[in-house]
Amino acid sequence: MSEAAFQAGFVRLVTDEGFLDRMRAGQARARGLTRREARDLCALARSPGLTVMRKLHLGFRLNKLLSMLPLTCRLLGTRRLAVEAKSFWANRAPVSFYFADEAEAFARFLETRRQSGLRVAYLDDVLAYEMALLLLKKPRAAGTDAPVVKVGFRHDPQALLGQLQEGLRPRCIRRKRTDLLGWADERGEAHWTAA
Amino acid sequence: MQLAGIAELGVGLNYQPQFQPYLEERWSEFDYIEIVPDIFWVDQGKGTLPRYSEDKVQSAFLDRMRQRVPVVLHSIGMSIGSAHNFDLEHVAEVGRWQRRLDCPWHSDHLAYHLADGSLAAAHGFSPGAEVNAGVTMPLRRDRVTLGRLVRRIEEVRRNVAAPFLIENNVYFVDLPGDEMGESDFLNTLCRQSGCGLVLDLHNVYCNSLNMGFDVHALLDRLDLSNVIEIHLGGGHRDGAYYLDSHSGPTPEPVWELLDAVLALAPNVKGIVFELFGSWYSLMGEQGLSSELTRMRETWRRYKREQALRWERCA
Repeated sequence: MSEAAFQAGFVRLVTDEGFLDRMRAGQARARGLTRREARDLCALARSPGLTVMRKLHLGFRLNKLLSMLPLTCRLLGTRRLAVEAKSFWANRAPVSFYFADEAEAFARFLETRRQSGLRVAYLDDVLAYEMALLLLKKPRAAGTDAPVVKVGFRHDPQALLGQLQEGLRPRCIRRKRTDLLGWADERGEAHWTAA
Repeated sequence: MQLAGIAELGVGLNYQPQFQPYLEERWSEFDYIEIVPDIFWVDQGKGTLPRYSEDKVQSAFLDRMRQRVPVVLHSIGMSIGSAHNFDLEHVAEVGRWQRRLDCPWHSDHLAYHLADGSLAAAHGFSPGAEVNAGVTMPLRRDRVTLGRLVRRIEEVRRNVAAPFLIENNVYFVDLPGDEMGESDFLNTLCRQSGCGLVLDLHNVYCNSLNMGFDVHALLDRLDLSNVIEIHLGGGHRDGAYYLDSHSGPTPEPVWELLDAVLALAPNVKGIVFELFGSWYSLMGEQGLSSELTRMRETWRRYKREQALRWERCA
């Protein structure tokens, strides 16, 4: 099992910033290693190439959020996104290959943060819309019915989503209670209509 | 390795959803498509039934393309070097797609990305979960690793009815404790396991820049008779490092390596250009087309020279 422990430690250097920092400072030990493996892991932690691997890993994770939750990410802005993503990653090991899994978990994380006080204008509307899109775009087994989702907006969805899709941070969107129904066609494209 | 039955394909292009229109409209510019099968399904996780659900939209596109050109599988999900586990259900799914598409060969990377779940447990997740690094992790080149890989490749060959190729990895660190160099490791692995080689020349180029070795010294020691497919691609600089980002045209030194390798590799069946979809808009249709045209010229030259060599031998 020692080689498996070494690989887990090596992956942890790449995926866990806190562990990497502690290893570099000589304050952490990976469990289950031989003395040689522990020494090798310390050497890897100090290798400049490890920083590149970590950057690639973070790029891979960030790309999942940017491509699956583009409007939410734009609404948050670069600085807030970096803070929230870092906090999310610190408590969630990368356990899935899939973009949708990571995006769904991040959306749930943001929803929890919102309910516990995170204040970003229009976040409730945009997050609900993109969470519904994730559900609609999920691959379905043959023979299963496409889901229909309902999103209740508190602000004018056309103006709000339109500004975001144009690459703008939304401003002065009027309050307008609107319920939209969404479904996906055969090609997986989402369609929306007023409920 | 049994080379006799492997079909000769020619010039290949990787599949990315962003260039579906290009693939459909300009399919006369390439001879085959390389796909990452893992993006055509969703793995619901071990123990679920059915475990894999297919992405119907992308699969329908693939089925249309398969009517026109052959498809080869280039997996990223086997994690063949993982010490803690080897997922035979994943291998079986690759086998199902190989049969469905009648792929003449399939391949994966000489690396691992899945590690033991104790890391996930440290993060508060269930101990059974595996951690996915999302990058290809290098393997120690020693006898223990070799033995593990040989056993795994034997499993793959038992479960997938097409020759299996392994791709040389890109890496940014040297693992302490290597017992052999990269070429010797690849030669021994191919000899002992019966697999062939996808020689990614851009990976070799990247590694030589980042790790500071002579690329020709590596290629001189490599048994080029194992090379069945060659990968090309582009990258970019990021500080002191050069990244294998598949972000644009193949650099000139890699084209030179291609000529050098083809002059000595007798069994090459295809050359693939790999580009990530997110960079397609920068490279454009014309850029992609130029790349494939140059590959086509190189491939024709290779076949001409190979025919001449056969004539001389006869």
